[in-house]
Parts: sequence; structure tokens; C-alpha cells
Amino acid sequence: MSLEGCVQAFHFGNDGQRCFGQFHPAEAGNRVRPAVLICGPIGEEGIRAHRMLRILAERLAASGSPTLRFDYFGTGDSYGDCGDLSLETIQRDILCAHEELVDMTQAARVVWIGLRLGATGALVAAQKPARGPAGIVLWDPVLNGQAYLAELARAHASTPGIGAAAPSPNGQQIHEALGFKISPELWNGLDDMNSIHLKRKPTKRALILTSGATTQIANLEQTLEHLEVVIDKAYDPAEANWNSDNAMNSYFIPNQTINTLVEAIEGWR
Amino acid sequence: MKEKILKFGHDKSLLGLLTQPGRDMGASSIGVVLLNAGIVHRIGPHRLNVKLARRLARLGAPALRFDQSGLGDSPPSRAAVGYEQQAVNDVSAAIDAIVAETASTSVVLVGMCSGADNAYKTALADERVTGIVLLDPYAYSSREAQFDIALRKLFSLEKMKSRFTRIMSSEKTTSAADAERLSTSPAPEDDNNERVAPPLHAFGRDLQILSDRNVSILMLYTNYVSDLLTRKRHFDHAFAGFGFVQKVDVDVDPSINHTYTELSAQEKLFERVLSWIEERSRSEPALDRPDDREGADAIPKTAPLRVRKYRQASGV
Repeated sequence: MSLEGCVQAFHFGNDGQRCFGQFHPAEAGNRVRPAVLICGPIGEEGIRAHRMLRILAERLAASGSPTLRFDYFGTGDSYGDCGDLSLETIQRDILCAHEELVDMTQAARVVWIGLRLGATGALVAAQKPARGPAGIVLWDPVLNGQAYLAELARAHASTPGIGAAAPSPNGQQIHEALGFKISPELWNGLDDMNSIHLKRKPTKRALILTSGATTQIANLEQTLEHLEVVIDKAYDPAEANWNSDNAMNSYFIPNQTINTLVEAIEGWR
Repeated sequence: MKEKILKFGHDKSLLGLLTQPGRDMGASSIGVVLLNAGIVHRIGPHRLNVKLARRLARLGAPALRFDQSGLGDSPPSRAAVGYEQQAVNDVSAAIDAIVAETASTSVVLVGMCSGADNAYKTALADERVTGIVLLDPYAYSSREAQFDIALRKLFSLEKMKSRFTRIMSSEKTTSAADAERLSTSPAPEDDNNERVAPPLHAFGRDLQILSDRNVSILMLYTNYVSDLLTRKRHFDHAFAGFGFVQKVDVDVDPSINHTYTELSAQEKLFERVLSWIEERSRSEPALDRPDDREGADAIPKTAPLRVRKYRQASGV
């Protein structure tokens, strides 16, 4: 479906926690496939990913998957301030968006696509609902909160033309990164997260889509296998460019990754 | 504060969010339209447009952020016009939308970088625009500026350290390259979107037209243009001979980067823009709308903007 189609922009969620979402109905004529919820990254990564996630949603809708993308409370066009954001609010909003998508589509199956911290939030949140996602795509998930914070701090300090000092290597708390406030709740949550611990089976099937194999990805695979989750994997180092400084303010779109995702979800029957 | 999703423009294809003041605020006669910066979608770099819109609403001024055709969530236009004209058409459509939805009778445009270019071009074409806030608009150097900048570089501590290191290591200096960079005075070009500045006299002429029309102008420069100007007087020198120089508000702050990455820089920006708009609101004419206008009952009387109240209430 193109943007000229009937993409519906709306607010949803409880009073005081309203989120902004955009729903891409499945294009008429295609067999109905699973509904898809896109859980994006936050902060600067969220801005960099906006265009490619819009195109992903269009492609999914065109292939028959009604798709919802949304902003977490305190991010994008949602209500709230960046300081309201935490790992808990991300998970809460993913579950709220899931309910909204089920209400809108009456879909029997919903697949979640999580990118970066959105993947992490999706994986943890998926343990909670009675009828959770039929599958989750974990696209470059953030698996070590401390490393993620250090990465943000380094990127912030190296931004040309700002006066920030380089972060302390000993995990000193940061209050802002790349133009966004980091709340104490978000910082604490990430600082405590050196791996993903799952108590319940989050989903039946997961596609791990990363730019490279790492020890943390291997650990995640072990965790998911232990919980009897069927795992698919896709690696494509070149496609990680969407998050590079060079891609900022450009029209770079990882088409190969988008094709992989659309085909994978078509195959999840 | 409430946000309303709008679809407007030709075939209702442009997506925007209108931030409306609370009912207790009293409506401002000034509406603010926030433009895309580069290809960043309507929320702006670091969500600046969202933060600014909500602060404006707390001040009593409605603000509309939106995506121009082909950016963010607005599809490309089917109209057979070039990018520049399409941008002006889109911003004018946003002005139509905010005037239709609110009590605004005049509009201030806020744009960063390419958004600044589109803001002043729309102001030239649309007389409803009574103010423009240009963040890193086109910049031009002057002999005075080049002298100051060269002098600053010559005596900067880092340069002296670097020079000492080069002498000690017998490396070649790069002074020739430095001199070349300072030798001419075009505005910076953006490698990605090919933002090319018009000749100084053409930009000056356009600003003069706006000034003669009593359009209020605030221009904020950052270290993005530090090779061209670093002080307000450099701007004055570059445009010496133009009458508007006495009327425009120009700030140059080389301690701030182009997209206001640091939160402290964002705070400075918001304070400056809000105070400036509040000042403009004092000279705005009172709202004058026909009573039989649809929804007129819902439109409160206009009130001057209140920065003090905003500061107390601000949480963003």
C-alpha cells in the first residue's frame, strides 16, 4: 500500500499515557496474513529508523499484513516527555499497542517486529499477555544495557560541536544522549540489564536479524532454545548502515532486510 | 494541552499534529507552524518541534508541526512543480490549516536549515506570515569576519598546541588549506540535500522585502557557520547597506551545534523563541472574526502570551 492509501493516524492508550500510532490496513486482494506490530527504537535511533519502518509497514500491508507502527509514550508524536520513558513504559506501550491492533483487525495471529531497544522490550513484554505474539522478529536487539548506555555516551561525546566530556568508563550515570533526556528510571533499567532473562516462553517462533554473530546473540539463542522457541536467523552486516552517521539525513533504506522480513512473515503460517 | 491529528492540503495528503493550548489559557492570535529540518520527519531533530510546540501551547499559542510532501508520513505531491515551489505550497497549506482550526489571524514560521529556507520563501509569498524564526539560515561572511576568525584560529590554544607539535615533528603545516577555506564567503553547502545559498544581495533583497512588509525576523546562527561568522556584528557587516539590519533580531552562538544536541542548548533555544514570540504577540491586533463562523463559540477571546506562566508550568 502506498501512503496515498488509507493509512490511519490516531492516538490510543489510557488517559495520561496516550500514544501516537499509524495503522496500515492490509491491501485488498491479498490473502490475509498475520497482523504486524512494529516496535521501533528510541531516541536518535528512532528518528533514523522512521523512514525505513514506514516503508516496511507499507510493504507488509501490501503483502497482506495489517500493520501498526507507533511511538512510545514520551517519544515521537506521542504525549509525554522523554523523561517519562523507561523499560517498563516501553513494555507497557507495546502491550497496549498489541491490544489496539487486535481490536482493530480481529487478527487471530499477530507478529511483532522489534528493532534495537524495541526488540528488547518486545521480547520481555511478550512473556506477559495470555495471547501474545505468534512470532517475534528481533532486529539488532539491545542485549546489554550497559554497553548500550556506553555506546550512547560515546556517540554523544563525539558529536561535532558540542561541549560534552567523554563519559567515564566506569558506568557513570548519563542524563542525556544525542539530544534526548535519559531518565533515572531508564538509566537504572539499562544499567541493570547485562543480559536478557526470560521466565516464560515469550512466543513460539523468533527471527533473529542481526548485522553479525556475537556472544550475546549466541546467549540469546540458548535462552530461547531452552524455552523451546523455534529460531530463524539472518545475518547481513551491510544492512546495519541504516544506523550509521553517514545514513543520517539521507534516503538510505535497507531493502534487502525489508525483503527478508516481509518474506519471513509471509512464511510464518 | 491537546494534540489533534490533521490531514490537509491538496487531497488531504499532508499529515500534521496541531498542539492546542488548554481551554484556560485564552487563545493567541498568533499561530506557529514548525517546518521539517532536512529530511527529518515532523518531530524535528531531537524531537525539537514537539518540545517547542508544547511549550508554545503552554504559552497560549497553537502550533502545527507537519510533514511536507515526500517527507515523513506525507506522500510525494503529484503536482508538476519543483521542490522549492512545492515546499512553499505545502507551508501555505499548513497556514490554511492552522488558521482554520484555531483563533490565529497571523502566523509565525519556524524552520531550521532547509526549513529556514522554506520559511522565508513562504513568507515572501504569503502575507499571513507576520514573523519568521530562522535557525541557521543562509550565512555570509565579510572581510571583518574573516579577519576575526583567522585571528581567533591563530591564537587559539588548540591551534598553538597543534602548531607546536607540528614544528616538533617537522610536519608540514596546513595553513594553506586553512587560508583557502577562509578565502571566499559562500554559505555552507549541505552535501546531502545540495543546499546552495543564493548570492548575498539576493538573500538581502528578500529580507529587505519582508522587513518592509513589517514581518518580524529572528535569525539564530550556531557553530554550523563558524567559518563564516561568529558574532552578530559579522552579520551586520555582511549586510551593511541594507536597512533591515536595524530591524532583524540576530543571535550568533558558536557554543551551540547545528541541531541543538545538548539539552542546555535546547533550553536556550526555547527560551529565546518563546520570549521573542511573546514580544510579537503584544503588537498583534485583536482577534476579529465574524460571530456566525462555524465553531465560533468554541474560540475563546485572544489573550497576550504569558511566558511567566509557561515557565512555572514547564515540565518538558
